[in-house]
Amino acid sequence: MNDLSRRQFLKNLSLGLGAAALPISFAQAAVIRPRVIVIGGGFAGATAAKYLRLWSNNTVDVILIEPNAIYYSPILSNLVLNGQRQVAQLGFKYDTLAQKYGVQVVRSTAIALNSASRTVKLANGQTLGYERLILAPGVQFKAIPGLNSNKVLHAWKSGNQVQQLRQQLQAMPTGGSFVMSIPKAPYRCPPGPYERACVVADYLKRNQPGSKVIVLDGNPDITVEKDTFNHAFTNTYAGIVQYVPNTILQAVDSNKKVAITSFGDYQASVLNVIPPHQAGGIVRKNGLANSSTGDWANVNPLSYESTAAQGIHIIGDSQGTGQPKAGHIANAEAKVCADAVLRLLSGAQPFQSPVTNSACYSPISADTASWLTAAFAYDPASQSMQLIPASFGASSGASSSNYRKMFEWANSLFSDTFA
Amino acid sequence: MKRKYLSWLGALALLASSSLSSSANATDYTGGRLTNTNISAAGVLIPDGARLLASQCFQCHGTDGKSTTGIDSLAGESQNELVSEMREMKAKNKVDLMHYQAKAYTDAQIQLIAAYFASISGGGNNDNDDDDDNHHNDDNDAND
Repeated sequence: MNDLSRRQFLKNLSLGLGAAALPISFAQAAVIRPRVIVIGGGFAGATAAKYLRLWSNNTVDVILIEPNAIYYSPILSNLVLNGQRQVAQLGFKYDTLAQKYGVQVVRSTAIALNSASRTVKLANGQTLGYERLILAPGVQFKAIPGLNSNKVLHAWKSGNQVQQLRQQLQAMPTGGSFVMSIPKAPYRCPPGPYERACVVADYLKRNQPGSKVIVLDGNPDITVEKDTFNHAFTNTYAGIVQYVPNTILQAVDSNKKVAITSFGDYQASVLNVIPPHQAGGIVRKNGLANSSTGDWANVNPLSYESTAAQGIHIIGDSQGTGQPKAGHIANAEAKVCADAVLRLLSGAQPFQSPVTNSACYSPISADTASWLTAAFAYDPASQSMQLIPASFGASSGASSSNYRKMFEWANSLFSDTFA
Repeated sequence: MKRKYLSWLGALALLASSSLSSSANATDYTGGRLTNTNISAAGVLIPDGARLLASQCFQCHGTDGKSTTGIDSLAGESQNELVSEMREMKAKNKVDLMHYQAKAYTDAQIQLIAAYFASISGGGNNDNDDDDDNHHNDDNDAND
């Protein structure tokens, strides 16, 4: 049965048409199962794929479309910069999702969506039909004049870029400047850039005395854990970190490693530009990035279904609910979405009172870390996810006990997502 | 050995506030949890929405509350014990990650979450008391 007739068959079933009314070749109701396609195998997509299988008792077929054989976690990746982790330790394959949960992993890229026929066209030539489609492509960077991200690294998607930034740092001349640019919020992993400034400072303090970290922040202030990071910048790394708020990156000289900003030019020995973010290309190219800025996808937070297209759900960093863009809460959103998709496939409505949570630990040095947490609840009046103020808290500074807990947290999250 | 507590009446009362209704004849793709009440093998009532609310704990406490790290498992904990731990953390002002998390949930939601974990049998490392930094109420020295 091809994908279109398969869909029509399922539609007939849901309309209550009896198998007797259908041709004999269609009388195989038992083997026809709804199919959900998940595009993108990061924290959001992998979690959605796993839980769709687990929570449906394997009665729903799940196809995960992901071009890479290995996903490298951005979580913990700053620790590569100060030599506390290897990139290889941050890699996750999709074998467990395939073998333990029966997720069909297709190593390809989706090149076209058709929400009317509910089909996805892949770069490998396949066209696949779906009952529900979940997009989890993560973020895409915006262009900055002169920025060549192969020379001026972002290192904001883990993997090879982080390894290269480590090498640039090691090759930095003594007394040099590591200059980094932080984009305006919202960006992926709110504490991440400040965490990076700290671990780079930690590396330089121990290995390259006299070198500096200059933090050019596009935001008016440290966006999260202000007390912790301010203390780190002004005490732990006093004389090393220079924090410059409200500094908009206007252009980059990628060959000379110059950041051209609203506050003038900064010459770097190593320049690290985290460009401004927007939703993944597949979201934007298909008219799904319908937030007021055009950067993110508006969704119904009960199901993460797009407000622009029926049957397409968007989770993780591309969604525009206002929840933070980070792996832990992407996992949380994926569960809400998976539960809702299964209910919708069953003809029911999504659960009406979802709660999601965010938690993360940030390394501040090679043996201390801080944490930040928050939870969000669905508010029926505004039909949006709202921060629960009493749940929003941060550690009092950094500690070695938190450093140990950071790995427990990360390993648990990795396991709940990929294993 | 942990006792399983049944709190049928409490959980049923909570269901009154739950707004989901399933369509009668639809195929259930939700592993049998779409119906409003479900009795697990452990004899514990799993109200609608409990699994989804509880799944927010899985990121740290493991899928279905079966931890793969030094963080406590929640699977198989008694409903009453989980409820009382969460309520204690809700009530206290302590700079502790779980104390903030606990404040995210209503008492009714805590009941649902606890009912779910109580329904799962066999956690990995419920009682690793040698690692009490990861215990939720790790400030319980006063009443131990």
